[in-house]
Amino acid sequence: MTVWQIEQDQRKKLLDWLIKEQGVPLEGATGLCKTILAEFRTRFYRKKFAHEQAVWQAIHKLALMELRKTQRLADKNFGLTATSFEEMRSNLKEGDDRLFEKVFLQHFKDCMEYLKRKYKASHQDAYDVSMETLIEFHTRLKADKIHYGNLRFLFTQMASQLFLKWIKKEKIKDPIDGLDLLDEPDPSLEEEVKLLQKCWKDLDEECQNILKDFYYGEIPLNEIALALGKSAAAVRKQKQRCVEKLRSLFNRIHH
Amino acid sequence: MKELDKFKNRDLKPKEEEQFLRKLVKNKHKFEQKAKWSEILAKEEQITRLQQKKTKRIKRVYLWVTAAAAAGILFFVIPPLLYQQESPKVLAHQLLEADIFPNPTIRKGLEEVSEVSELRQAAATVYGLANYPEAQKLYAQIIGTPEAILDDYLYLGLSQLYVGQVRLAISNLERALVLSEEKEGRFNQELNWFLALSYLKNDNFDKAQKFLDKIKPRDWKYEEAQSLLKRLD
Repeated sequence: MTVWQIEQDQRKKLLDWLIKEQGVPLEGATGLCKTILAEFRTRFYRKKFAHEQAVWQAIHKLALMELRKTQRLADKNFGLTATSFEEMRSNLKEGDDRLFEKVFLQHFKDCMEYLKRKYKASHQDAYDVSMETLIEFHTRLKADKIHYGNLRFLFTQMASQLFLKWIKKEKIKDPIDGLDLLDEPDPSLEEEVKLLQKCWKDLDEECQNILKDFYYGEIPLNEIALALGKSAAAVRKQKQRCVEKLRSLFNRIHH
Repeated sequence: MKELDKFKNRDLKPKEEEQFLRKLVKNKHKFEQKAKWSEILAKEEQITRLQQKKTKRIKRVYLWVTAAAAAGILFFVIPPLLYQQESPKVLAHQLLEADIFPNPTIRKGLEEVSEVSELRQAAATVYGLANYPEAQKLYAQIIGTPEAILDDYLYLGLSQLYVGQVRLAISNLERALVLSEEKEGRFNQELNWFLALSYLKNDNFDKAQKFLDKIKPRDWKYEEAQSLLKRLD
């Protein structure tokens, strides 16, 4: 029996075992199956197997090793596999936060406990910093600035550095590569945001969407125009009218 | 507020105005997102920004006492009644409660003291004191590190099982089983038994039967497994 023949024979059995016995979802199981059989090919391309049982034993052993590796990686990444991480990221870009919330909010308490234990942070400080880290993580994930690997470590490091910078007012000696931390927000900003929330309600829906997409989503005006089926010039004018409307609302509410 | 005033009075240059609006709209969205997540955290994870005040804690103590009394009734009065109805699920619950699996983790003298070994020791201590929620937290931290071993998954699964988080327990005990196979079957008999009990508690009788069938005549808990199998038949 050649290795290729063996692979064809064992592929279905392995896939079944991964899905039914190990509870791996179909998409993940297909990828795992590929990796395991590739490893099998590399290791045993010269070996001749006398009977099928021996083949299965060898594949089974490799599969257990691969499962463990995947599991460890998933543990480091809040239980996400590389595939589910990509799914989460693409959902986020489409404005669907559900998977992100499901994964990260479950780990919020761990982050708080870590800050309390390591830096003796108060409950409120730990809460605020964990929340801020969550917001930052969310933003950076959407902007492709965070990659799969060790998300748990990265999240904790970000929280630690935010805590040291904002609460302890320390200068960060050893910043995380490529993760320049935000400055502490200006307290007066909160009041401005509250005023904006009041004015926002009086903007029409299209204005709300254009301003949100342009300023928050950082989507260029020509792309917004394309989505609305309008010309870029028309959307530019419309956006300007929305800003003027916002200005007049601010003037009316806040003297 | 200075910038807002300038915006209102058209005193900002176009570029400054764009920057100001971008900052403001982004922060509005952030505030809303925080509010939404705070609500989810409070509702689903029982985490709030403000800690409960002491007066509330006293009320909570009374609540706990009442809950403990109720739990006592649930544990001592209801199970025998259900037992008479010969439910395998209840029997699994009783067997689990009656025989807590010990955790003899002790640091060996020559072992290098690391953060994980410290955590493991702390986890074993709180597990021994039956503080399973705390044990869970500590074991969960350990399994997030590359130094996690079979024992960590086993005791994390057991801690979850003892507090009734059966699905999580199954997931971790299954992981432990995978590791056990790599470790030439260490804890294999124990894992078969606890997985069987977990699946029974989860009403998955087929899976439970599969693990009970794996328990051989000379294995740990063989008689109990047979008695459960009869009940399942």
